Amino acid sequence: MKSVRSRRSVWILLVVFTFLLSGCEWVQDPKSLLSVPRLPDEQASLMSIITSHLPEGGAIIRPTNSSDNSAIRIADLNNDGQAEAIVFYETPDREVRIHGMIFQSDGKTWSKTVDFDGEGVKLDRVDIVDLTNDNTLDLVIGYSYPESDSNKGMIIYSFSNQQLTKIFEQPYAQYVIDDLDRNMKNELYVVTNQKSKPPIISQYKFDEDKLKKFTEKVMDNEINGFLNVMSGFISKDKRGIVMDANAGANYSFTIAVTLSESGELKEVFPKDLTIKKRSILSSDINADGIIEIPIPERPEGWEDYYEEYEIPFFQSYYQWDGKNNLRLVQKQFRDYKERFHFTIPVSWYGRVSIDTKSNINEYLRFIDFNTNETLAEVRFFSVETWERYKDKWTYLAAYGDEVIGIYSKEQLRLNDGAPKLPTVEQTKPEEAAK
Amino acid sequence: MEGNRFFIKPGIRRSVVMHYFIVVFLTMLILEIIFMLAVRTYYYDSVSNHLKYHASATSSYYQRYVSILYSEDDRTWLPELLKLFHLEKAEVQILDKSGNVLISSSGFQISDVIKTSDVLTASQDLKTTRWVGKQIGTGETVMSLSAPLMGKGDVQYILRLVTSMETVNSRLNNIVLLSIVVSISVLVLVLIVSLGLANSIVSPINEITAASAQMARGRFDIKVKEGYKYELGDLAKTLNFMAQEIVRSNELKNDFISSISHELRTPLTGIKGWSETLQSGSMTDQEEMKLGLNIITKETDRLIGLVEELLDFSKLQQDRLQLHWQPVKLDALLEETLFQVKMKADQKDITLKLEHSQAFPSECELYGDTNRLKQVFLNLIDNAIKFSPLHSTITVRLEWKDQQCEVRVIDQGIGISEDHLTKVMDKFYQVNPDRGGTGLGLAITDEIIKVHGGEMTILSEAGQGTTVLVSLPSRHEPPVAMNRTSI
Repeated sequence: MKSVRSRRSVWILLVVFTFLLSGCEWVQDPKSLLSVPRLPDEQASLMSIITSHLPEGGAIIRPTNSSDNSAIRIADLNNDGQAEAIVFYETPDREVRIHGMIFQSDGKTWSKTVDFDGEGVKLDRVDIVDLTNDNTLDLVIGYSYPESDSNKGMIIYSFSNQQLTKIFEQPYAQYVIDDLDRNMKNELYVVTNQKSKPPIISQYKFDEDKLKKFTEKVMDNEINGFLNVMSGFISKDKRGIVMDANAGANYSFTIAVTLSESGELKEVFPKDLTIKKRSILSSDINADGIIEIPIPERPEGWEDYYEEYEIPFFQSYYQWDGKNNLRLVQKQFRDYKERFHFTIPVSWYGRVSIDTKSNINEYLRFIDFNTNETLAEVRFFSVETWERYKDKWTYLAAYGDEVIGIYSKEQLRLNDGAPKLPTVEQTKPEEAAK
Repeated sequence: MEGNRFFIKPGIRRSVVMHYFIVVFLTMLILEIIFMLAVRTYYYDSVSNHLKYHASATSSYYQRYVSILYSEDDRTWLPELLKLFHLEKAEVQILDKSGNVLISSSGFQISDVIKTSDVLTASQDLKTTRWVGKQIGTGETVMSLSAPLMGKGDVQYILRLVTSMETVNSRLNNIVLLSIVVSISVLVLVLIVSLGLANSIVSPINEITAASAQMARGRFDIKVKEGYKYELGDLAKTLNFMAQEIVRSNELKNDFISSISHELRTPLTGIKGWSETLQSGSMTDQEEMKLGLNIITKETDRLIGLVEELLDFSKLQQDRLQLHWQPVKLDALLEETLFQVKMKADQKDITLKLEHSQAFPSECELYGDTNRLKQVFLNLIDNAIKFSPLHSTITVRLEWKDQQCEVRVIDQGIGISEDHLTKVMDKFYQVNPDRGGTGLGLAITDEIIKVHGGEMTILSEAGQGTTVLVSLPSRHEPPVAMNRTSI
C-alpha cells in the first residue's frame, strides 16, 4: 500500500511539474510564433553567405527601374554551367554608396568572387543580357542620382575568369537593348540628354572587343525629355523604338525609330501626327504584339474656350501603317485619372461626342452629336447611392470612396474585360488597427 | 513478483479495472480530439486572421488610392508596392493574375507559377482565402493567404502573404504532447483508484468464496462475515442461512432415521417376541396362539402402515401419486371419517362434533380423490385426538365461502408453540421426536391438499388448542396428465 501511495505522489508531482514547466508559455499569441518561411537550401545558404559579407550598415537594394526587381539575381555569367548570383547593396555612410557582389556556386556552396564599387546613390537598372555576342551574359548596370533630370550612368561588365571586366561606360537618359536588325545579335540604344542641345539616340554594337557607336540620330529640338522609351514591334514584321517625349512648353509627341536598310536610324512617321496636349504613354493596347500610339481626340462641341483640363478627351490608338502614316486601331474613352476606360464601339465612330454639360469628375453623357441621342452615361456614385443604382447600372470601377457606374444600351468592352465588383472586405478601422 | 504488479489475472478485478480504463480512455480520447481540433483551429485562425487583416487593410487601401497607377507592363513600381504591403514575419509576394510571382520580399526570383487554392480563389472568385501546405523547395509547412488587388474593376495583382507554420505546429505538438501526458496521468490515477475500487468489490467476494468453499467441504460451523454492503451483504446472509438450513435438514434427517428405526423396531420387537414365545411354547394353547398371532398381525399392519406412509411420501415427492378424480361430497366424507375415529376418541373420552355453517349448501361437491381427502381429514383428526387431553371436544366445522370449502378442525389440545408452528409441515419434523411417528403425516397432508388446489393453515398457540384450516376450491381442474389416469 505504501508503494502505491508513493507511486501516486510521484505521478502527481510529474503532472504538476509538466504544467509548471510549460505553464509560462502555455498561452502565447499565435502571431508571435510566426516567421518568414525558410528559403530553399541553396537560396538559404546563398542568403546566409550574402549576409555574412554585408558590411555593417549595409542593406541589399533592388533596382528601381528594371523589369526584374529581384534583389538577388541568379544567372550563369561566365557560361560555365554553374550559376552566379549578383547582389547589390548600399552603404549610406560611406563614400561609395552602391556596391555589387558576385557569388559563384560550385554546385553545393556559394563563395564570394567579386566585390565591386558602383556609382551614384541609386541603383536604376540591372540587365543581364549578351551584348558581346560571345554567348555569355553581360552585366548592364545603371546608376542614378535621385531627383535629377540629368543623365544617369551605365556601366557594362563582362565576367570571366573570376574577374569583372568593365567593357563600356556611358551616360544615359534611357536605354534599350534590342535586336532591331534582327540578326540575332543585341544592340544597345542609348538616349542621352545634351546641354542646350536636343537629345541624341545612339546605336552601339559589339565589334572587335569593344562596343562601338555605329550610328546616331539627333532628335527634335523641342524635346525636353522622355517619359517612356520602349522597343518592340511597330508593325507586323518591323521592330523599332517608340519614345514618348515631352516637348516645348506644354505638349508631347511620340517618335518611333527603326533601322533603315543601310543601318541608319530613321523616324518612321512624322511626329507632327502625334502631337498631344497631354502625355499618354504608348503601349500594346489590344495585345496584338504591336505597339500602339495614343492620340487624344477632342470631342465634338468642346471648343477652345473650355479649359484643357475640363475636356473629356477620347483616345485614339494608332499603329504605323508601314509607310509614312498612322492607321486607327481602336478608340477608347479613358478617364483622365486612369480610373476607368472603355472601348468605343465601331458603330459610334463619326457620331459620338460627350455632352458639354458633363463634368469629368461627376457625370458624363455620351451622345450622338447629330441627334443628341444618349449613347451611354457614366456616373460617379457614393457607395450608398450605388446600392440603389446597381441593378440598372453596370459596375465600371471603384476608386477612393466612389463607385463608377456606366449605363449603356449597347454592350461595351469595359476596361480590359468584364469588370468585377471587388469583394475585398471593407476592414473596419478598429480591426485594421490590430 | 514486482514485474507482475500490473498484471492482473482475469476476473472481476480486471474487468472492473478494464471497464474504468476503457470508459476513461474513451472520454480522454474524445476530449483530446476535441481539444486538439479547438486549439489547432484557434491557432490557425489567429494566424490567418492576422494575415487577413493586413491583406484586407492594404488591399482596400490599394484599390482606393493606388490602383490607378497600375500599368501591366511597368514593373518598376513593384518594389514600392512591396513596401506598401510589407508585413513582419511573413514573405510578401505580388503575383499576376495567372500566378506568376512578379516580386517577392525574399529578394529571389520565383520562377514557379503558383497554383495553390488561395491564388486560384483570389484570381477567380476575388476572395481572400488561406491555404496551408508544404512549401515547394523546402517542404516547410506554411500558411499562405491571397487577396486580389482590385483596380479598374479587375484583378490587377494578387497579394500573397506566406508565413511559416513550423513554430506554430511545434507549439501545437507540444500542447498536444502535454495534454497526452496529462491524459495518461489521469488514466494512471484512474487505474490506481479503480484498482482500489475493484479490491473493495473483489476482496469480499474472495472472502465469501473462501468461506463457501469451506462450507462445501462440510464445515458448516464457518460463518461468512455479514458486514458487507448491499448485494454482497445479502449474499453473505443467504449463504449463512443456507448453511444453517443444511445443518438443520441434516439434523431432521438424523432425527427421522432414528425415529423411524425406533418406530420400525417397536412392532418388530413385538413380532419377534411373540413369534419366539409361540415357537418355544407348546403350540397347543389356542388362546395364547390366538393372542400372539393377533398381536403379530396388528404389529405387521402397523409396519405396513408405516411403509405405506413412507411410500406415499416418496411418491408425492416424485409427483407419482395417482389420484382418482371424481366428485366428492365433503359432508358425507367428513361424517364417515368421524365415524372411523370414533373408537379412538372414545378411548380418551373425547367428543367429536361436526358443524355445518348455515350458508353451506346441503350438497357441497368438490372434484377430487375421495380416499386421499379422507386420508387428509383422518390424519388431521387423528393428530387432534393425539394431542388433546381427556374429556375434551374436537369440532370439525364445514363452511362454504366464495366457491371455497373451508374445513376447520378445532381441538382444545396442547397447541403448538410459535417456534414449531412454521416447521410442523416440514418433512420429518417432529415437535417431540420421542413420541414416535415418522414426522411425515402433516407433510403428506399438505402435499395432497396442494394437489387439490387448496391450502392448509395452522393457527395455534401453546396451551390454547390448535385450529387447522383446510380450504379447498370447489372447481379445481385436475392436471391433464392426472385427468387421463383417472379415466
